[in-house]
Amino acid sequence: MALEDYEADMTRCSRCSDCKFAPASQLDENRAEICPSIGRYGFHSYSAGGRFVAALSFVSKRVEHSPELLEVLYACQLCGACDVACKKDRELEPLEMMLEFRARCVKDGKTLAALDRLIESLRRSDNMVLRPREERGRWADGLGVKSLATERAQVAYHAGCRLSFDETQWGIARGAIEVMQQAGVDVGIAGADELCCGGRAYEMGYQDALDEYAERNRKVFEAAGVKTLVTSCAHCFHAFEVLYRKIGKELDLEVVHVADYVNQLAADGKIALTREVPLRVTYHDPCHLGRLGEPWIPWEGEEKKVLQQLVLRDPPKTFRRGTHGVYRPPRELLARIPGVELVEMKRKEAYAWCCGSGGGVREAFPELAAWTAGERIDEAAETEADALATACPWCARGLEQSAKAKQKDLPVYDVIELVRRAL
Amino acid sequence: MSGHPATNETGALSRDTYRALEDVVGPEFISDHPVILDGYSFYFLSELITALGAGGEKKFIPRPAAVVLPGSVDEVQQIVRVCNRRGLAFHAFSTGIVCEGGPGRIQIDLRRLGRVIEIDEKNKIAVIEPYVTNARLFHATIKKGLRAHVHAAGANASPLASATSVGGEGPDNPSCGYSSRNVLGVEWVLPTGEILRLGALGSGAGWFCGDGPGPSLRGLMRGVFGAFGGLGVFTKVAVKLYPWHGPAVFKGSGLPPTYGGELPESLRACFAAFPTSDQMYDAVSAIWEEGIAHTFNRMPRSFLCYTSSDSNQEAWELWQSGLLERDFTNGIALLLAGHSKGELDYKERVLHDVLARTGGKRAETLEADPRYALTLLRTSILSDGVFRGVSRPSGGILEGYYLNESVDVSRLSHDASYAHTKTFTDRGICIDNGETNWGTFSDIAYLSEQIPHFDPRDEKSVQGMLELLATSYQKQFETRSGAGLFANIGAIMNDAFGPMLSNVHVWKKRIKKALDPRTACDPTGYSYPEA
Ligand code: SF4
Ligand code: SF4
Repeated sequence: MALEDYEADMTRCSRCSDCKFAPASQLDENRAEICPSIGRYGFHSYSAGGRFVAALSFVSKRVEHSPELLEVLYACQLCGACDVACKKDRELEPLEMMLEFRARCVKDGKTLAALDRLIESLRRSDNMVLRPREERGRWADGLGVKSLATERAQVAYHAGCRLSFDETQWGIARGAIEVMQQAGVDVGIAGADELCCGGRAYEMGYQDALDEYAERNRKVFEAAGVKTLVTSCAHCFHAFEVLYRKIGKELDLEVVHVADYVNQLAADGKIALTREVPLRVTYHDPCHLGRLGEPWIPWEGEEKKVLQQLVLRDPPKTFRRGTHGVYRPPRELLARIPGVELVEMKRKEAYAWCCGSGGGVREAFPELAAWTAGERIDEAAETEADALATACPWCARGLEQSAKAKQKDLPVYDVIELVRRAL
Repeated sequence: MSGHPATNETGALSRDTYRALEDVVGPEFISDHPVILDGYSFYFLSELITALGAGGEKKFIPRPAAVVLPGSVDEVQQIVRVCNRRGLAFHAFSTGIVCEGGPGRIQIDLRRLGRVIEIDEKNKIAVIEPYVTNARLFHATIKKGLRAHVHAAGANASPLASATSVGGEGPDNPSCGYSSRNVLGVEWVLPTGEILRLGALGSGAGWFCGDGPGPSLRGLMRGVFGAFGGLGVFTKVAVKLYPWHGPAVFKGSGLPPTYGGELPESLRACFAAFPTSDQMYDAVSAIWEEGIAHTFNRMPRSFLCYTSSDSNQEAWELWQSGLLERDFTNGIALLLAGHSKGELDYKERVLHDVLARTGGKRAETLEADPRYALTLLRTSILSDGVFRGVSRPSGGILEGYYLNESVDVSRLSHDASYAHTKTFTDRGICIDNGETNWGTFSDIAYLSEQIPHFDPRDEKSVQGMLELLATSYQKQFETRSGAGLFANIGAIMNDAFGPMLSNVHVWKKRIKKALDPRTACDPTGYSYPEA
């Protein structure tokens, strides 16, 4: 779809501000807001409703490309909270419009230097973290895990760019492999040949990257006969499960997030979580696993009207409203760990506050990323939890840095790290 | 005046005026960039705002010269003073459902003033700032067994804006009164920059009474409809609180788009329908007299259809099933509230008696399905989900016929107003919803509205709605059936319809002149000053 295809949505935005708050029956007096972008910058343009207006203004040629327009579009994590809040009661597509607006900027050659650098890294080294390709597989040294380059495996574990290159987080990926090995799973990794999923580039507006990586990843998994693709990264999960389907390049295998996969291993008795981990834990839903992790629902058709002006779609369209995101499995997995007590934050599941790292914000607007993470850390601290657990290395990294910066005694774990302690 | 022009010929701010405002709010909280300003120039029916005198082009009303986000009343006051000194007009809004823009004007966005300042449980008062929403106030007060009136503009609309400046009706009118009745005091930055505190607050006696000891200017401040930001900026308001019969925490279960839950034991949802609209109006009068309604909706079946469904497709299927036409034509929906089962039983018996007298029938099929009760609860108590009924169907609504009159005046215009609207649905201008009068009552009058749905995307639909509005008002005056909503809103409408409304326009011009001698506060939504 092109930006212009959302013009009807732009004119039908009712300025109701629902995209700024959790639904009325879900919020509390405090921590009611869900949009980090307007939360930080305040002007209406930094909300989904405001971006509808900016888009209408752009397609009507009232505003042109400018650094300010780029800032309005990119100082947003594309976390999707606005999207599910708007669509609870409406049939508009704010998130899709924002993605297309960014793609238009890239197409027109109007980009942010910080993100261009990432894309160069991607072109050069197949990763989004500015690191040399050769370092990619080092995280798995000594694990004795199958290499998909030379062997076939039922299950592929995809570490993703962040986990592959951040030594301090290698424990998460190694832990995932160890758990699977212990459960007797036939698992392999692409190691140094692993590729970026292309999802973060797509969200930054570089949509071609997704096509390319969908194709290249398909070949890797097909060649190794992979039936199930497991990943620890919510962004990779989202790309493989949602975005590849969206662009018609669905992988011919099952995509599962590691929290879901390991939860199933535990449910099937393939691993036993027996050691006490006495912790009061609050869980942060990664946006790309939670509300955005809902499967893509393909639809092609057109608008039609009945009763003169009642807007329907032909064929009927099912909107993605965050209903079927991956919320339950990580919580179930935490609940299986002896000694773990789960306490919820005010904003959770479909309305969880973003960690701050998505949509290119971590790289292009680090101050917004830090502020957003700081809000989440404060919210987590309000639960009086001993620790914060999450299921995405991007979230974990941003939240951990924020807790440190705020001098909060709130360790941040990936759920797999807690599972390992219980084995 | 500073001696320098505040804006240039294109309406852009001069650099030193920009700096003067920047000095007040800081560089982060001011912008004059078109991308930011256009965020304050769009309204889904901007053509109406344009027609009301703001000017503008298709879909956009004119950009303001700058937007500022003050963080305190002191900053608001300083902004207003800069505007006065430099001959600039300003206009403020809270959550910003409607914006008016305006070339050369300063848009004051009150987003940063969002504190619930106090819930005074003993005296049943809440003191809030402009950006507090209906939903936030509701959740803050129910913890203490209290609730405030919730106006029907949505869960994320501002109770302060409603209490001080704009209309303020809602289904809970019967138990809470409408917004005008709930103001206990305000902190008001006048168009000149002075701060006025009304009611008991004005004599330092706290927020407990809007009429003193101290100045009582509630009528002047907002009257029936409010000044739409045309008389300055309200930075705090105290509103009355009422008993809340439900639990201290009100949370729907499950995941979007539809949250589950249960009706609190202290509330009962009742739906009833009548063979004729006349019988329905008899029942409205009787229910009003009996004082049993906690919330009351004379509910068009289309509204129930849209709000109780998760999508337009689902609504269309429900509509086609004929269930609502069969069981909920000339329908009313109310919540009864009670502190005990006995109280609830009593109220329900009274309702039965009213229905028996008026020929009404409980809509048992609807009452047997919890989704209708939950929909009624959320929309009536919390204004939650009203946009399913307002904007999801086609994008927009506009009040055509609007009466705040006796039940009998509404009764008399019921068929005529529908027939008039029908001439527009027949032309494809708006959705053919069948009967469309929504209504509720408060201590002052019965409110009845025709709320046709139109498509802001469709030029024919938009222009048709403007025609519907104008002709509806004309018809209302001709048939002596009250004044349309917008007859009282906006400087142009004020001049056009004032002579038919006890010369209210003359008074508004005087008030405007007295409170705003330099016309610093944008008059578009209210009135131009007396010449
Ligand atoms: S984007 Fe959706 S939720 Fe936000 S103001 Fe527009 S209609 Fe409302
Ligand atoms: S995607 Fe997230 S940050 Fe961006 S506008 Fe929506 S809620 Fe705000």
